Amino acid sequence: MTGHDHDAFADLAAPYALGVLEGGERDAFAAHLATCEICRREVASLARVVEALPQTVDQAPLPPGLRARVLAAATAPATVAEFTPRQQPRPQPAAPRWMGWLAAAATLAAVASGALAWNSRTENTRLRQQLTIAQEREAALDRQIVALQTSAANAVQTTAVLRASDLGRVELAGQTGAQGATGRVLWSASQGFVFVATNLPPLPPGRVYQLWVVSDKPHSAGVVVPDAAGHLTVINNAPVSAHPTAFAVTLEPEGGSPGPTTPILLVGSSQ
Amino acid sequence: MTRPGTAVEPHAHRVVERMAAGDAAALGDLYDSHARNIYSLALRILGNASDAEDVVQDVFTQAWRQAARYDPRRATVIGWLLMMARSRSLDRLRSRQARPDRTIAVPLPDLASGDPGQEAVAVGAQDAARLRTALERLGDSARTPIELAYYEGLSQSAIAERLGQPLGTVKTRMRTALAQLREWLQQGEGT
Repeated sequence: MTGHDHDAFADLAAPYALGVLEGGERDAFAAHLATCEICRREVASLARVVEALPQTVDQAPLPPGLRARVLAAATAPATVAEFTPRQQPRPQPAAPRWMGWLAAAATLAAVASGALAWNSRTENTRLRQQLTIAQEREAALDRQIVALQTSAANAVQTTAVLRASDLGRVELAGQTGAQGATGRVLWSASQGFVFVATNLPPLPPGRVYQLWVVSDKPHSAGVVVPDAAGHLTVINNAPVSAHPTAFAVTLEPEGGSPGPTTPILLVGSSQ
Repeated sequence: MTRPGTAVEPHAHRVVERMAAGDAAALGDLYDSHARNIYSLALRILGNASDAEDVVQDVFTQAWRQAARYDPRRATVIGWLLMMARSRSLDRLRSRQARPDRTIAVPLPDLASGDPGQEAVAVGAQDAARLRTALERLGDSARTPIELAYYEGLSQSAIAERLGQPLGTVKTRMRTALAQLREWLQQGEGT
């Protein structure tokens, strides 16, 4: 023992034996152990006390069924999702006895400061990646569910219109500014209407198409944005005026207007 | 080299050798011998039966997979299992508390005796009973730092913070308390 060195470490045997020495202190003490017989004996004798500690705990009865569960799980093949063992395989070659503590100290320092931290970091990263993938998959499924619910609701609404005994049909023709466009409305006073249109010109910025049901005057039936190909479908189950004279489409500011503010682009008479 | 009053487990590591050879029945034997100890320790640390059951499963899974790496010169079988149980329990405690800065979980140091070539000596039931008496005799103020370190994995500075005591006081108390326990255990062996 070299006196001053040893004095510096005398306080550390207890926390080391208890496994709560941290970082640099732990590494330094592990290195010191390799050279100091007194500290080795001190740690070994304290470790015996520490090893007995968990056996002083009040013994609780084992839950029934745990044995079968544990044995089945323990011997099941490992899955990819499970983390890897923390300690690297470490062959134990036959070595002179005096090397034992050196090896033990080195192993301990490596395991404590490096391998354990590294493995738990990789483990964390992998679990986090798996969590992200699972969350993305869940979000995608949610979107699919919403889309399916929407199309199912559309089908139900469309069927209600088509089944109506007072079903009427109106063909709409493109006007100046939308000559190539065509449209069709299937409507029922009680069940609402289904409106489809094709070849509508692309919308200018800040503008939307607004659909009008004209009876005594134009009544708004909502604003709508076509898809990139200029197609659109509107399903509306609100009752329609019993005697519409026409269906029409105009270009309006976003949010729509109380009445048409621009020339009609698409129109058809129900008379 | 066997100390009086301690039980030696000369054949205990054979169970682990059988496990390493793929004998699932050996795992059952290991469970029957030690599961209660492991469960009780996990329950003491985590205070929750469901978490403690998970720890038991983790420990036996790890023991099954790492049986070939078990070295009887470095730890007794029960010491090896309890070390894993403590480490896994503290991991769970830490993730539950989400205060990684205050807790650490490192493996216990080599549990073999000072003679590195010797087969590890088991801590017998007598040791445990003597230590329980000794812990009571120690008193709260000396016992608490040791319990916080062992069962909560708190560093000395975290213990000082928890108890509102100077770090130096905690260090001294931990050292003298552990030495006192050792002394009482050794005295008990002579009787």
